[in-house]
Amino acid sequence: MRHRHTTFGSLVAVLALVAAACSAPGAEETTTTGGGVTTTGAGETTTTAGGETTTTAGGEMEPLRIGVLQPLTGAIAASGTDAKDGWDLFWANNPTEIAGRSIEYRVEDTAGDPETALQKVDELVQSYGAEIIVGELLANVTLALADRLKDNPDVIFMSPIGSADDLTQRLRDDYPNFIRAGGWTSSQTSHVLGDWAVKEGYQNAASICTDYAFGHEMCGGFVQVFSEGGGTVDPANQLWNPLGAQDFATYVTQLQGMGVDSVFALQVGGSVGDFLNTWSDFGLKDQIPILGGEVLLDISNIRNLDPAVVEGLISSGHWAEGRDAPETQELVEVVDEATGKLPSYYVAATWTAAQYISAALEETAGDTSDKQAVLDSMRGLELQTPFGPSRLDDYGNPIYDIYIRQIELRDDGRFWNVPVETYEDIDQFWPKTADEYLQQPVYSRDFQGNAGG
Amino acid sequence: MELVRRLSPTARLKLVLLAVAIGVGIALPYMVGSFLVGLATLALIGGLFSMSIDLLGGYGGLITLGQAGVSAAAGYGVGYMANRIGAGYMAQILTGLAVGLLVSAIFGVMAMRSDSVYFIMITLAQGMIVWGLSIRLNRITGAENGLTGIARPPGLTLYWQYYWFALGVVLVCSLLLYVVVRSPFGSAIRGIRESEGRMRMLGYNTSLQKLYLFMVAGFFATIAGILLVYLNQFISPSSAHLTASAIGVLQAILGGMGTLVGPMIGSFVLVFIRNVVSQYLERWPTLMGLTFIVVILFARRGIVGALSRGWRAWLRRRYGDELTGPEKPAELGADVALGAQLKATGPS
Repeated sequence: MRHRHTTFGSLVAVLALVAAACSAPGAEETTTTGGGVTTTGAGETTTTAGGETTTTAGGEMEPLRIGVLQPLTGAIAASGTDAKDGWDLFWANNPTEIAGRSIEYRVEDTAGDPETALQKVDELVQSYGAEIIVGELLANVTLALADRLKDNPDVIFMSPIGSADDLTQRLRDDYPNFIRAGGWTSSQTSHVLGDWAVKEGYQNAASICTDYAFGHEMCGGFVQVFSEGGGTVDPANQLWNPLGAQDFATYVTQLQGMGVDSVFALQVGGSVGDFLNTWSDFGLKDQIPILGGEVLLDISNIRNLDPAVVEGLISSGHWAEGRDAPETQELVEVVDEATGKLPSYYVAATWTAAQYISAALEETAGDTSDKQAVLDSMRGLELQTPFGPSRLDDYGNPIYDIYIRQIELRDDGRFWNVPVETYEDIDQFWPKTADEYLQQPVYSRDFQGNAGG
Repeated sequence: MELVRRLSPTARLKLVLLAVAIGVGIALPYMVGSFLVGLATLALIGGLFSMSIDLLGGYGGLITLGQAGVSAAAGYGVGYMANRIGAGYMAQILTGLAVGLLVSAIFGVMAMRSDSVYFIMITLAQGMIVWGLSIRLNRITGAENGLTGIARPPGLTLYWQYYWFALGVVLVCSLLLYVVVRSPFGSAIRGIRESEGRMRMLGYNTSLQKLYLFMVAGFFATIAGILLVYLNQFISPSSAHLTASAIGVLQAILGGMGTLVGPMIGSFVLVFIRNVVSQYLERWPTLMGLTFIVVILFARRGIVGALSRGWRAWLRRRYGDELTGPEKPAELGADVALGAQLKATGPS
């Protein structure tokens, strides 16, 4: 018996000694930093005599690797695929070598799930060596990714779609490597709709929005500006449905009975069609005007609906594919030819993000070793994007023209969003100033900025 | 060693494989980079989670579709203390354990009188109740945004440190599970799986035994949940969703229910498909589905079952029928008993 124990015991002791004696793993991992510097396992670097940007033996700089995370499967797959298309199409139609630096990228599917996204971003940063991460689509996933990446100074995190407000507002100092080039805040476009609704004479609005950060923020933006402008939103008339909801009959019945003159509606992905079809089936389309949050009437979510269900519906947005401007119509042509579809804002967003990267890389002559320099360069750019004119504010969020859009039928039987009014030069805080706005908490279920209390 | 010589070929093989696996497990951070080590950590935790499901399903005959509710509740306990309260690590872990055990106790009491299909339905509902609460209770759980900034305790912050820690915890838990399964309690549970009526006639309070089993399995699911939340440093409602529970069950089936090592193998296979294969194959969910279908059709007892069958077939060819006896589930010691019996009676 003692036999067995001593053998086992000595085995454990040996293992423990081996473990203690060995150095920590990962000490010899290869890291690829930006700007073309490669440190190999033995820690050697090749430098020119002048100590300038190092190059590999081949005399060329390491390609700039970009990791793109989008939901390519799941309830949001239609929008996620659009986002991927926008990104792919930019690089298919523009040079992929800038200032001697070639661009490489890899697109990964998050399935709209934060945990999957976290695993994939680890793979992109650690295994693939990405210096820029572009993603995601859903605000909650974007928040999770921002949190994962914020302590990594060698990575820039760009979110051209995920619009969690606070990342460029109250929390911006916690995320020094985050920038929203090509992106927006959830409430940026709904502020404008609230103002327009007051001017149009609407007095009593209800809302139906998806119950998560994006829905809270977009709805809050509308409610605050609408109520502060004189309109009324009874908190009891604010309905919230879970993300991915498909059955809207109960919600629509409730809205029908509220006696309001307008309904602010925001849905995402597959729920858009379900909501709009239900709304139309109940006969409410011609009875109670819908004031749509941008995503509700985004072309990616309504492409396959019956035109009668959507024609004439109003929404606000930073993207209007029917906008008669060269940059916009160029993108429409490219996308229509490549995919047979009219571009949604998801396409325009990733296209614009790529545009920003391309322009910034020109300015830094291909050098991305100093990430803050790249970010500064982006912050200084004023670009004509498919959205319209775009420049970044002091908080890393774009300033755009925001459009009041209406669904119009085209000659080819399809429909699209055409601007009927333009609010120029709108930042994320409009109509307040940054200081005023940041005094109040971020929009949430508990805080909708309702002036009526 | 005399001990090893006295064991049957099957037992010897198992020991060798186990030693090799543990050896590779310990040496892994020296062999591969941070990403794969992170995946291995994830697979270990998923394996522990599936083992807890296997305890209920494979040994108890009670398939649960709500285990993710238990582990997510524990994770939220940790996350809440870390994110909302800012408590210390001990407080976080103790809260996680307490919440997980409380939830498994409540669920166990609700489910202990049912079995088979009804058990599946009740546990499914239970898991989704946890999911629903995590979406609604914004102040506690952060709803869809989840809870972020859940830092790992000092000494475990680097990926390889956390990996070894998780490996150690999982090995200890596996040992505990092995002890549970081999104990009289384990035998009683298997008896209940075979025939609950007969066990009751023998005087067992089967409902109580099932409750104990639920809590024991819940304990291991709680550990897995806590390990996971420190790994991801994040938790969101998707951790409690039916999908997470279902994947746990599928991993166990894929690896082999009723074996302890099967679920671990299943977890590694799935993590591999989801994270490595997915880089090269856009339709990786299709591959996952096909894998399950193939296993169900051709290898009912999972990967371990298929390997066992192959091993026994090889043994039979090599040693003839006396050693292996008629085909039966692989169990440590079965070969030894048969071998000893033959020695006593002499070759026929």
